[in-house]
Amino acid sequence: MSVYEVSRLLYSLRDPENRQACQANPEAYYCRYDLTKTELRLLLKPDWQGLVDAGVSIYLLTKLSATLNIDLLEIGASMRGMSREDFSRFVREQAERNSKYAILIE
Amino acid sequence: MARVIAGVGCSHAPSIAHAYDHQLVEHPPWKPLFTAFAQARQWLLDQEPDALVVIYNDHVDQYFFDTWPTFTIGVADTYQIADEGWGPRTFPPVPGQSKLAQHLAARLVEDGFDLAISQRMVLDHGFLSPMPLLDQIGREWQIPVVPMTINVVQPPLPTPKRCWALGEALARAIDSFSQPLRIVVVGTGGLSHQLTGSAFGTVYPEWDRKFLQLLEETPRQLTAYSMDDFARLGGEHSVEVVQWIAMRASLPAEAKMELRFYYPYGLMGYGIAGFRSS
Repeated sequence: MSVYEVSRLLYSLRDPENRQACQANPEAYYCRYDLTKTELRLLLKPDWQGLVDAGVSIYLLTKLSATLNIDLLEIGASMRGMSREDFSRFVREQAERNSKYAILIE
Repeated sequence: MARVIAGVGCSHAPSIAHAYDHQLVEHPPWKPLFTAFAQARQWLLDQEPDALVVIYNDHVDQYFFDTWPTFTIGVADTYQIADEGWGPRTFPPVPGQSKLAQHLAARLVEDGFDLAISQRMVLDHGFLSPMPLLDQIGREWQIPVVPMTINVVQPPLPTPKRCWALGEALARAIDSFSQPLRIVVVGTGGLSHQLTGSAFGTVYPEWDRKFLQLLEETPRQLTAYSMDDFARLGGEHSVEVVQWIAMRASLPAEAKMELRFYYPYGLMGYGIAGFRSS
């Protein structure tokens, strides 16, 4: 079960020294693990939805995004196949549309 | 004898921690959420609890896929803060209540819940997004905790019905503790959110409101739903609401909802509910 190796790799990024090594040279860091060519390609891009489709948990992908300093808006836009601006607009307009459902405490 | 005096359900999105750590508490879009948490903290501390049992889910920070436990309980004296990739948040270690935890572990296993027992747990945002807002004054923890987790990450996930039964068994285990402790059960997670695929970021406020209504009026009906139902109605990652279901099941049927808050914003339906046993 090879996706397990990707998971192991991403789990290792909880350690700051590993994050530094990964930031310094992502490809070299990824190659410490026994990945398939496809997995390496998905990580190098990084193809967020491709990684999810391969079976990687979003909660491990956030460790990679933290390491590479990529925010959730960027990941969301990429998974939806939208530009960052369009995704931001979607989120803003959705909040306006949904505000009538709020129950606030004063 | 100990007893469950109250229960709290609340969201635990990392965005809450981010806004808190970046001093956005008074920032207009975030203010409603932090105002509600401040009210919830006051309400919780007014109940004068001796310990909190916090049911949450780990996000691959404490546990890993080599062996992923369905239900766990922490029995440590203190708990450390997880590093989820941005460095650990700067809170003091969280005080545990190990004597109560060991009793709960023993009674739950006796009662048919074969939990994994953790002597060391690092707490991630499932615990740490909301708990400083509910259990700290200044940056000091007020009430010791017993952390418990329910798996919502590694399929197969436990059924909502089983999570309800866990809450009921937890109440029995608390009732059988010899010291007269006042316990508040907290369940964290949800509400609606979807963090993958073409629906990434979609919030489902009608379902969230329905969920809160069911939780208040006919909570046992929630056990008729499957995890797939919750994923379909509130987004894949909203299955975390089983933590609220376990919390509600630990309270008497007639418990009153005294605190309610719902705020659909950003990528989430944020919710807070507070129930008093009598």
